[in-house]
Amino acid sequence: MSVLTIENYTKIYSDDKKAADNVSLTVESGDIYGFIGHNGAGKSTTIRAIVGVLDFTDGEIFIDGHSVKKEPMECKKVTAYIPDNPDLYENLTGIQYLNFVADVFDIDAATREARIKDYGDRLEITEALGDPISSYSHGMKQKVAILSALIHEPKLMVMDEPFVGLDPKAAFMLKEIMHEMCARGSAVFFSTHVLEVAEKLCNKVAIIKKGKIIAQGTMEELTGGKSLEEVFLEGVNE
Amino acid sequence: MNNKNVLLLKTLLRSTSSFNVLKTSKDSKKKGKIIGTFIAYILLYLMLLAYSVLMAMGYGRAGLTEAMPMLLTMILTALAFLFTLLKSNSYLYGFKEYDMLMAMPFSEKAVVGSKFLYMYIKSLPWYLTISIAMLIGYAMYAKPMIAVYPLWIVLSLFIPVIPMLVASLLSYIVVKISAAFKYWKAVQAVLLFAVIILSFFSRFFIEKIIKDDSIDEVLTSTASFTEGFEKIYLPAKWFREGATELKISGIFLLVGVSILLFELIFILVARSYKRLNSAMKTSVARHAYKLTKQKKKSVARTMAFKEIKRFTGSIPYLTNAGAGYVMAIGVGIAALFVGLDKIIGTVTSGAPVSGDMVKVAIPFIAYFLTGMVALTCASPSLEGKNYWIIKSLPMSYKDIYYGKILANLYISIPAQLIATIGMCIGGKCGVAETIGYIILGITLCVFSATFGCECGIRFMKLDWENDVEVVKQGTAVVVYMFPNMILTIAMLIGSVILSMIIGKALVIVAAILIYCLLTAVCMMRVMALAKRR
Repeated sequence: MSVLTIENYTKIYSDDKKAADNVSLTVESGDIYGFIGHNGAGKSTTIRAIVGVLDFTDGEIFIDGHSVKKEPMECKKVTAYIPDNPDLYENLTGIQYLNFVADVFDIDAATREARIKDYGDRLEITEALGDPISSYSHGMKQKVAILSALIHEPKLMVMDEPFVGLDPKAAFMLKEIMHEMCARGSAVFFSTHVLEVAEKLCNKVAIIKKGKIIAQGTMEELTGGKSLEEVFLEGVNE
Repeated sequence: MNNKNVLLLKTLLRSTSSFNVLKTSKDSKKKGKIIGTFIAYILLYLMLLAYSVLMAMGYGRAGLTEAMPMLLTMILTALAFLFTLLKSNSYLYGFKEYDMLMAMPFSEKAVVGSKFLYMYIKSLPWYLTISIAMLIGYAMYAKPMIAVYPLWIVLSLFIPVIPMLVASLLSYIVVKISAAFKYWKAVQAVLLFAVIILSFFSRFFIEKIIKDDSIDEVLTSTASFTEGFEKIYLPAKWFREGATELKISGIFLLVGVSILLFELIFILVARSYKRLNSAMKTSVARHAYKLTKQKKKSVARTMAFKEIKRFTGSIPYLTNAGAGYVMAIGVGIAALFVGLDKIIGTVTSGAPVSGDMVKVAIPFIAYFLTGMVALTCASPSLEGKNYWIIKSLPMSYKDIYYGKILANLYISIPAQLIATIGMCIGGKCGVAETIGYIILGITLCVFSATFGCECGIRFMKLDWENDVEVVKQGTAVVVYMFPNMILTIAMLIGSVILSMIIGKALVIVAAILIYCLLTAVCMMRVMALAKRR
């Protein structure tokens, strides 16, 4: 079952520069989908369009069968987004922020408590949740953003460079959580520069270059015995 | 408003509330700073309250008691409109947490509407202080019924809504037009400057309409002034009728029109909200740079260059701090064509002063605009999260702050010169007299930059969400503005009076010496404070 479908998505800036050109891909339930490309290739622009933050010029994006353009609220209810540099409310404490997100997604008290405890302990952030976010390090903010994304058990988790700033244990935990989500039938779509992570973690990958998808498919289809690094370098150097 | 919108508004308020940090932080230094700022704000509100009560008592004594509700509407309308125009752009569009909010299940209208209400609630203490002061003055002279007191307070909360909505609508139009351009920042800055300057000078046109309506009456006549303003601005009438005559129609109209306008404007804004933010949040990279010959600059000059790029790169910073410079240049150019007398006549509304009497005030008039805000008040705090860059580089604290002062002077001195020379030519001043005014003007600019820097370092605040918090609402800016304004007015009046007794030349020399001395004191404090930072 398709959780995310991108059909001919195109984003053109005011100076006619194409940030994304006819991008199409499908993320199925249970997929961990890696989105890789150079700096400025169009990864973040595409991700921000998926989560409904950025509008786009042409094409369609569907999440769980709903159009991002026509039914944005339906899409947002089943999606979680973790940006590369999360701008959280600095004067709130971690727990106040998590409660805000839980309230937005209508999560009852018992469920939110259980999820905060479970994921908080695994990411080793529970003890810091009483402190203002302004006192957190980048990695701690990233952990709170991850925790807030998991609080409503989304069908689709979209992440922009999620491993940047995370300590090794938290990075390991996040990978575990991603697998658990997919086992439950959700899907994960994330961008990364770390090809080794993508190779080990993802079952599907798309490579974007100057706004165009130059290769996509299952890991086996794409690599065909080579390493992902080799495939990527061949693709971007062409 | 549904529950989620209330939740969003509550969270927005809580997320910027210092009380939340006071409650949850373990950092005692931070807590001390918050308490200090809180006390400073209480003092400011008390000062504003005292000033406004005195003003209201003055109106009462002058027989303007009946005009007080209208005067309150006029003051709050002007303040709410101008302040919203200056800040709505950065409050409503392209704000820091836009991605986070828009990725959550909130509608565009909920996000932008909550942001507007947040902006409104944050400015209410100022408006409420003025309203309470005017009510005290009104109560002293009109001896109204008990019901007037709560109604006055409640209805005065609605007075700023309509002007704020109109300013937000103007801001939306500016954003919408500029979003269509490749260099949208430049277009937006130019359009905003135009709207701000037009709004600023519209005061004179409105006054003229009011005056023209009355045949024999002068401005101070209660009846003509009230009727004149009420004719062109109906909410003033609704407030007066609702609050003082207890007319249900006035109450319903003021509240109803405010709510209806809110709904209509934000339905309109929400329709293209995502598209506008997409344009503002994405930057176009050309990737076409070719490395050419580079130049070496001194550390202070390179710091100044960085500061100017920071100034021109941020629309809230540029429009809030730059409006005074643009107006000074406008006044200088206007004086060339219409003459100094006309300018002074317009500003003083025909008060019995002649251009010759006030020639000595030329540098102060120009400085009133160029020194209104100093870039140095905001520039230390605007380092924000980038503060580590200058702190980790091998440069002395002197170079850092000399650079900030230099950047301020690069912008303020040309504006001061254009305004002064324009007014001198328009006022037919002699060459020696003009040179004197120019030197005094430059001295004033140096003082402004140095005093601003002192305030900027003393009240440095690096953890902020939006440039507006520093540029417009920063403690440093407030602490700079009030004494600077009072000193400028005192020096202006003093110079005019003294020039008639001891002559212009002596007054200019004395003023230059006074400001040099003040600048030296400020510079010593700047260096002492900078060393501690």
